[in-house]
Amino acid sequence: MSQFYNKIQKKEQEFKDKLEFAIDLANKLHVTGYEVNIASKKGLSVSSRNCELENIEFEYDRAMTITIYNGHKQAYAATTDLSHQAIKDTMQAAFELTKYTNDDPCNAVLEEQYLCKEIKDFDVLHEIEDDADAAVNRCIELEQCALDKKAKGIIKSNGANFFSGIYTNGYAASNGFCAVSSASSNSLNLSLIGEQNGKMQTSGGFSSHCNLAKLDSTEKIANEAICDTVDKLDVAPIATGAYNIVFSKQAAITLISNLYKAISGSLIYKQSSFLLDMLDKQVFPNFINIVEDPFVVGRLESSCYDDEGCKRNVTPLIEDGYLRTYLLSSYSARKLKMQPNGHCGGLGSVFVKAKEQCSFEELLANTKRGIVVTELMGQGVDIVSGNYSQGASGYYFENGQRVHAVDEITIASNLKDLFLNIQALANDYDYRYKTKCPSFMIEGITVSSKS
Amino acid sequence: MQQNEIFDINKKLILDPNEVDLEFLTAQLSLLNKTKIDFGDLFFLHQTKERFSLDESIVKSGSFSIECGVGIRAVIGEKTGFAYSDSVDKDSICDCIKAARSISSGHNCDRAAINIDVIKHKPLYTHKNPLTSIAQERKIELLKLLDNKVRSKDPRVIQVSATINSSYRHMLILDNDGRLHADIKPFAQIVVNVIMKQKDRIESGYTSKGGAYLLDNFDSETVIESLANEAIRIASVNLEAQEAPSGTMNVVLGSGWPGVLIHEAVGHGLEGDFNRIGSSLFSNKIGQQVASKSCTIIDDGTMLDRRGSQSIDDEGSPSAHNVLIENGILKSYMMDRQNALLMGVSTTGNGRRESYNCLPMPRMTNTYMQVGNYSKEEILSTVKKGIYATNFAGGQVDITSGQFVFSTSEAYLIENGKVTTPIKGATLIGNGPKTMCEVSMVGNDLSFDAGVGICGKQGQSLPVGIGQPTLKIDALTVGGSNLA
Repeated sequence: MSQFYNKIQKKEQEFKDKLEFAIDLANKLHVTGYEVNIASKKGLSVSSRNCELENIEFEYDRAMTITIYNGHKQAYAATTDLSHQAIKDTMQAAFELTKYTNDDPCNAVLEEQYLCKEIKDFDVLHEIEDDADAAVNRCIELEQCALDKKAKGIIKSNGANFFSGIYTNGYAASNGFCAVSSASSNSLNLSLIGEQNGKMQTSGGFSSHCNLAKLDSTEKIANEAICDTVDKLDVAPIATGAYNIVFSKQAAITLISNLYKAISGSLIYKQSSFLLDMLDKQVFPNFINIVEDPFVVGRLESSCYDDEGCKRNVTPLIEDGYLRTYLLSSYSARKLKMQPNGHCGGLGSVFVKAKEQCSFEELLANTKRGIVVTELMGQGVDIVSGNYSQGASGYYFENGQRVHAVDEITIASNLKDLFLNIQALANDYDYRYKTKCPSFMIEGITVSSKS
Repeated sequence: MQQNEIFDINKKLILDPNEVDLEFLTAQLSLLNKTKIDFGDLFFLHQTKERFSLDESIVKSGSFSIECGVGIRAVIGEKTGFAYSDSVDKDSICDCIKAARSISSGHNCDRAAINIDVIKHKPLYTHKNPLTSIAQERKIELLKLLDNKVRSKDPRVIQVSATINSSYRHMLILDNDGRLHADIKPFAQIVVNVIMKQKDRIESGYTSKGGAYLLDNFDSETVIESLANEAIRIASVNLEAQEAPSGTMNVVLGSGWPGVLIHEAVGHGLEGDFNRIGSSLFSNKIGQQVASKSCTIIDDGTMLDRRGSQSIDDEGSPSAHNVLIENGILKSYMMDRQNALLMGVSTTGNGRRESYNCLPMPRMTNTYMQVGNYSKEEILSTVKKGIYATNFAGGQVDITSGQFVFSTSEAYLIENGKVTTPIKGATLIGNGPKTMCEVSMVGNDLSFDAGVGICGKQGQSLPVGIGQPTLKIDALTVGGSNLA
């Protein structure tokens, strides 16, 4: 085994020892239950500007969080100092706080029957870049590659940055669960500035992967940055009115991500979601299926267990348009008298699919006239009522062809209506994101504009 | 050597337990100065936080955290080397110095030996601990009292959640010239969110209060009562809200929290780093008109007890009252040390960082618009058809194009000079300088936010303040869904 994997193994053992130290301490407290979480990030972050080194940052963060259940009273405490004394103090601080919090019968560690018993490897740990000079060169080469293309409209680079690091996390609880795992993470980003008619615009390109060797080429990242920046330059006004909107790129993912918030158990039991009481009811059109797969190889969000050790499964969220599940932790499951389903913490990869999908070009051609929204802006999403109003930018198209860029517009509706009125899905999946959602079209959304 | 109480407290808390003394630090400085650098610093932070949260009428959880560490940087021109550690022991400090100074390959042999001087600063807030400022039992009682008040006031209330947060931030900054700065800052905050149901409709109301002070500011029936009333009032208004209009129209913004306009439309664009790099649309515009003549905009880190204030910034520079825009003319940018040095100006005391593990950047403190001459009624009476927005859910800006958004959480139609129907949350969108040039009337009622503002930039979150008088924008795009 290489030196790299040896080092990681040593680190994981060190974390296991710290977890065991905390477990021993907690057992001596004779409390009803406890959870111990340990997390660390170690890596190198560098940036360049104007093809010269800008910042080198040596990152190393660690933290431990201890949750104590004293009867049904719960409290937690966290520390960045992982010495034995600090762990003792932190546990004592959590224990002390339980004297003041209230009894809540739903406060407890996960029941043993739901624990993940078999842990699989998703190939997420690879050697990282730890040479600062090599890291800086990746940034400079990327900037140089983009600028060498002398693309019309691009006036300068707004900097490149590169991160390469290892995340090591551990979790143990009084239900007997104990696991430590590591994953590598690498990302390379470029931001460019373009200008036309005295107005500047910025956009960028990026690549991220747990395997350094699988990062996209500088050529590909540079091209994405150039295309997306140039695409924003030829801005022309459009009139306020109702438009067919094609949600594309990040905008499609951002819009769909509101579903996850709205079906999270904590908002459901607090009656704070517009999808309250919608389980097994229609939320999307019949042709849409949304499935979570937490077992995709090579993805950082993949894992057999969630943040409380609960077994995760491939989960249909939306089946033929019908909402099939809430996202439940053990706490929200108890609240709703349901079963926990591995959703304490984030989701795995999510795939948005339709019975029939076409190419992006066909989607535009079929829609004929409208606006492709590529970016959404601001906080105008109210999950409680579903009321929706966000800033947007993208481009206007006619007869399926791009005409000019559009910015400073808003789109407004209600999330309930937006979800139900999705008309058609393209097949332009972008696998860099956790949510794999292609472009889709919604008819007749109110667009507000300065003219 | 000068000493002061704040330095002593921080030294006992951060340095002494790690057996780090000034002699050791002097030796480390000469190590840092051995390479050719423009400047560098050691930033020590110790921060404790506590939170109690109530939901469904019981205090379900409590939490406490300690964060402690040191961040060390070496700056040469536009380059920065940075390393940090969550242990403040001698070995970790040595390692960080070596890593940070690797940014420079040049050597600096003739630098004189350095003495460490503790610099005195006048504190803008108490240095007492907010976590222990009232008894734990009392924090629980206050949350329950708040819950009780809200529930007893309106039968439409179906959920109440509330939290009490406090934090205590100790910092020590030692720069490579041997200047040692110390600051202690308290934070206290109380937040309530109410969910109300009327027939099939569910809406929420949110309000809060906070500042750089102790929790005893909330320990009063009057404060709790007013928070309860405000949350219910906002949710009630939203239960009656109709579809918001769409298109470009007159927009009157209320005083106080709607100052998020100032923060997004001009604030971020005037941060020094963006202007040095040339990525802001305000770059190279000093002396030019960037807002209407009625706009004077100030960033002031010296206001007493405010969250955005700081006795010294996170580089040890004293806070200041900085006029950014005067009668519409751009006067200055907000600066940290590195950007000031590169642009040949002085730092404005705006070098801020979230923690020891991230680099300082030019950031806002309390940013506001100066008062004008009109009363709120006068301003509203001039609007035939438009909206009046008094509360916002937050905003965002693209400092390169100048496009900014902010989303209303309480707003009304104005019809023939009268405030009429409440409208649903709508995003307002515009271009920073263009919108500021459309400001035609500024009110005489300057007020500030309730002390809970958080600003995010490049992943770092910081407490900030905002303020403004009532003001009228002649043309701003309102993102409602109603096309009529």
